[in-house]
Amino acid sequence: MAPPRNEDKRHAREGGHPSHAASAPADAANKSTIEQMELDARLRRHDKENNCISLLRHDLAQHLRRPAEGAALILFFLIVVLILPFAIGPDPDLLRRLAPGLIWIAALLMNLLALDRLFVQDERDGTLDLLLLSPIPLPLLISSKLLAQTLAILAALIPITAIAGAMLNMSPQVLPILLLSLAIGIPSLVMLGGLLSAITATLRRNPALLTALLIPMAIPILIFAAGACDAAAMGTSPMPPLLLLAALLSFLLPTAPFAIAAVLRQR
Amino acid sequence: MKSLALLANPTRCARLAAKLTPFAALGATVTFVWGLALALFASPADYQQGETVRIMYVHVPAAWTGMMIYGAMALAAGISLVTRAAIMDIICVAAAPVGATFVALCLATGCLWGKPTWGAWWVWDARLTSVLILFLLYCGYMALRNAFDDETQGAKAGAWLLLAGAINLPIIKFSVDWWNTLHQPTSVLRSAGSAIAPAMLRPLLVMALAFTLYAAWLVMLRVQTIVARRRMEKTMLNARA
Repeated sequence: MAPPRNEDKRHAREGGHPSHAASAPADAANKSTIEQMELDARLRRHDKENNCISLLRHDLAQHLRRPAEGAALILFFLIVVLILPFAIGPDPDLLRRLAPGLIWIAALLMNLLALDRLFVQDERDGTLDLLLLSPIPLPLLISSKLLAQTLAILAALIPITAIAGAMLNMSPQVLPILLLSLAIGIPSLVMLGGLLSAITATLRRNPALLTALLIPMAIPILIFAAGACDAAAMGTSPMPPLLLLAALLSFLLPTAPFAIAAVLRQR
Repeated sequence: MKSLALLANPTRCARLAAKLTPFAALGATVTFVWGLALALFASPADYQQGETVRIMYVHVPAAWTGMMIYGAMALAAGISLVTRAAIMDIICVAAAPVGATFVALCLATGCLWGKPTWGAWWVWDARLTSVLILFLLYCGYMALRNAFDDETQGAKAGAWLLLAGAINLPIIKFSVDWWNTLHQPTSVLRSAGSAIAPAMLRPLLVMALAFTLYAAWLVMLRVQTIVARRRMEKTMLNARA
């Protein structure tokens, strides 16, 4: 399937037959054309300075339009937290010690399940080909997608983390540090996951492979976040691990969108 | 420069590998015999660990070789993304199982060494964990590379994964260093001079040379096989068409 599609893409890029750009099924192509027209119309309405904001609003709307998917992810997170006491026993002291780590693992798994929304769905319905042809710089489009994904995940995570923390008998002084570590760590996780899901986007659905690739790379994030929560529980300063998390984020922030753009272009 | 560009041709590169393979094989055999003789008979037992210290002569070179191969693969991946030379992808595909095997050997000998000295097969220590992650990165690369039917697409995806892993590798190494440590610190290559006794350092370095030559031998053999197999597949496809 790949060679003819690439040829189409080349034609379209040369300005030959833009209508041939998406060789996906007709309804999917229609849907993505409508999305693209909507995006173009919005972009025309705003000034150049407002482009970034409207891009982000468009990407956030994509998340809000499918609330059932988001609800399923929240449910997944809560169920992972729920089964853990059954597996390790309901001892309150044990749960208090394990709570931050368990919540981080649930968040990591939830993030993995949500990765499908970044590029895989777009790849499947042909939107990705249209995005590649768009006059807007690709790294900007990707940054907007990543930011929207991060905001959506954090908006869901922060309230349910408080609930899960209470369920797991977590000490109250750990909760703000846990939330802070999620707020700094999840964006890095989304960017790493975005890079890997861009690499595997053309493959047939293979969630096991994506998991096997992402988890080893997510280990530093997990170590620093757990370190911050441990420090908070012991009453020492959680700043060093949090600053390392922030350093990781500030390394990925300028590099990841360009790396993802290069991967998607080379597909 | 011109001769380097000529080597980008897989067939020419395989021919060069075929010429170099006997030398690597000979060198590996000689250094293995020499190194093993030194390691097993001509070097002293440790005053604390006794004879188990001899595990080091396999363990440490295996770790070095496993890391070196990943570094070489990441370099080849970078070059393949810039120049799109097929040979760089072939080198990565050829080297991956070899590197993974050396890392697995390092982990296995580490377990065998840990049991008598630490009293446990495995501990969640920084060095052990980061080597395990290196092993998982190798496995992930091989799994990803196998998942693609199309060679050029697989080559690009694999190269990006190798690069991302290479950036992540030092982060993983240092993050676990801050996490939990039992494994001994660097003792051979350090600014204050080597902390290891010369009678043990010599067999170690000879074994490291032996492992490197052995790895080069295996990778060159695999490069020849892969080039031959790809050419065969192409001829079969042409014959069918």
